[in-house]
Amino acid sequence: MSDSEDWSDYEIEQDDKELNSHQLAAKSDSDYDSEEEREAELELAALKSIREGKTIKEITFENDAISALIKEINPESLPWIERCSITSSTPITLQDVTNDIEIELAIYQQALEAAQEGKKMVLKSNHSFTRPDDYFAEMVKTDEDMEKIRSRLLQEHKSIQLSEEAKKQRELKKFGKKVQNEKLRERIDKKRQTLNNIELLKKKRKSSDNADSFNDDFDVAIGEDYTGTATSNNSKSNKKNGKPLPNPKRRAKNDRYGHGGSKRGVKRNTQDSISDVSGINQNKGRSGFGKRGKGPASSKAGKKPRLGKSRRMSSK
Amino acid sequence: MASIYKKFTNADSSADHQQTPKNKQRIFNILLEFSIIYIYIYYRHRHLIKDLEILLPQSKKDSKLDTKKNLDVLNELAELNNCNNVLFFEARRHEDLYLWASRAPSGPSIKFHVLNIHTMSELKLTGNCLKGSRPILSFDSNFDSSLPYQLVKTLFEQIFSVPIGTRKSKPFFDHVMSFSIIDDKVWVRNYQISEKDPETGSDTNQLTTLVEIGPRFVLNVIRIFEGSFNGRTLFENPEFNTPTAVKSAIKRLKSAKYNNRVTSDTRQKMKEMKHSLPQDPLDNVFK
Repeated sequence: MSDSEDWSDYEIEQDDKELNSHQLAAKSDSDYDSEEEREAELELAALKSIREGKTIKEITFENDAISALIKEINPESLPWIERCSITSSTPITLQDVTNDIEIELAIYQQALEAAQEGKKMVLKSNHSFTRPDDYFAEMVKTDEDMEKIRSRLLQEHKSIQLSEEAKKQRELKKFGKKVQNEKLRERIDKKRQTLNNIELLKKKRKSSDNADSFNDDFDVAIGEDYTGTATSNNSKSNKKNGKPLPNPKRRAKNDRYGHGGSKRGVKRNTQDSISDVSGINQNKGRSGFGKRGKGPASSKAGKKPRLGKSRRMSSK
Repeated sequence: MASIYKKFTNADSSADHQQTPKNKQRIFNILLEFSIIYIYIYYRHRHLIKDLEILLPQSKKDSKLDTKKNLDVLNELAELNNCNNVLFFEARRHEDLYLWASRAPSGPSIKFHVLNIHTMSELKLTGNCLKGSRPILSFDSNFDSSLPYQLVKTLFEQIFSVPIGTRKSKPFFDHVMSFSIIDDKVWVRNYQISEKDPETGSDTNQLTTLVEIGPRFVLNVIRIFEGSFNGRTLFENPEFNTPTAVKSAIKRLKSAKYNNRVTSDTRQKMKEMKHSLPQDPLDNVFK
């Protein structure tokens, strides 16, 4: 067992070594942002590998010969205006030599310094520096070239503007959606609140119903009719089922013709119905004492008796 | 194969002619080559040569040179045309460009490798200048740090400056040629000096801005010879690697990717074989 563990450790170590030497090549393509970057990195690695493999030979610079040549080429007696060469005051030192922007900026600064210094020197040695406005001559780049450059610049400018506008539009769209969402949420909130209120009112009404039926009149406007006292029995039974009640007309019909439950023998008399005398009008069929008219009128005891026709007509 | 471009400048300083020494200019260019191979020259190299010819009014372009080996011919050509500086472009493998800058006939000569070429015709370089106007040469003070670079500087001062009164030259200054040493290479840039406000067009004497004209390229010093296209080596850049070596190294690295995969595959297989579990005698008990 221990033998095999040792073996695998060794194997892994070897793997690491292998990886290091070819780390770059082994990297998958997706690790690079672009093909160019990959090429550049490969080139750097290649340079490194070459440098490692190279045996640096002893090089002796022929410094004396070089300095002699410099003196020979460069006659000191020549005035500055012949060469117009300016050496920068500070040498270029860069932190990162792979950063293109940094390099260009450094070179630009150097050239700008030379331009400013050169202008002074040229003017000092009594030569004209700037071209007068009425001096026309052939340019390095032709008008056609410059037109191309200009159109490209314009196009670039335009495309930048367009993209910016599109960005703004996108932002607006996003914002608009936000507003819409807020509105929708508001609406939902409102609905929920009103529903809550209704529920609350219903509860209130119910509790007040039990306590005092007098309040009934005020609550008519709120909630549905079928929660009223007339069908309180029905509503109770229906609440058990959890089903909504049918409309009042239907309920009346159901009551009348029967719907649901056993239909047989409902209309028959039972012991109770026979002994129940509450529905019997005792005055029916009898002519009351001191009373005019037909019998049933007496059953409506609380009501005013109907007057005679002549009196009715005269009261109108 | 070698595309060749030569530039000669004649800078005879004749003290007896006048009190002050003077630069005389002759324009002369030579480009010689095998006629068939001509079309295979990488267009960018050709454009670079054309740009330099435009920027240096004292230059004379010659036809292509039909030899790669015997470069001493160039000295004779220079003498024939009364020139004392030669710029010789050598294209190899359709993609690598070398530049010889030499002082004919006595020397020295310097061989460069030209990298990162961008020509004037590129649309992102928006500057422009008079054809034949004199440049102000700007050198990084890094040039003074070592003798070989000092030699490069003095030679470039000779070659790239336009002497006063050159034929076809204009007596104004409207561009800067800058040479900087970054990462042990010579970076060449060419800027237009703009003293006008780009928006209003009015003169702003205080504010000088630069707009790049092109071409831009980077020179890597390979060797410095004592003579012109001959002589002993005075300096050799130890950091220089031939582009062919770099390319082959890249190829090797790329192929290493495949090789790596294959070897790791086989190693994995070997590992699996070595570590295979022994047959379990109780394996089939519950089946």
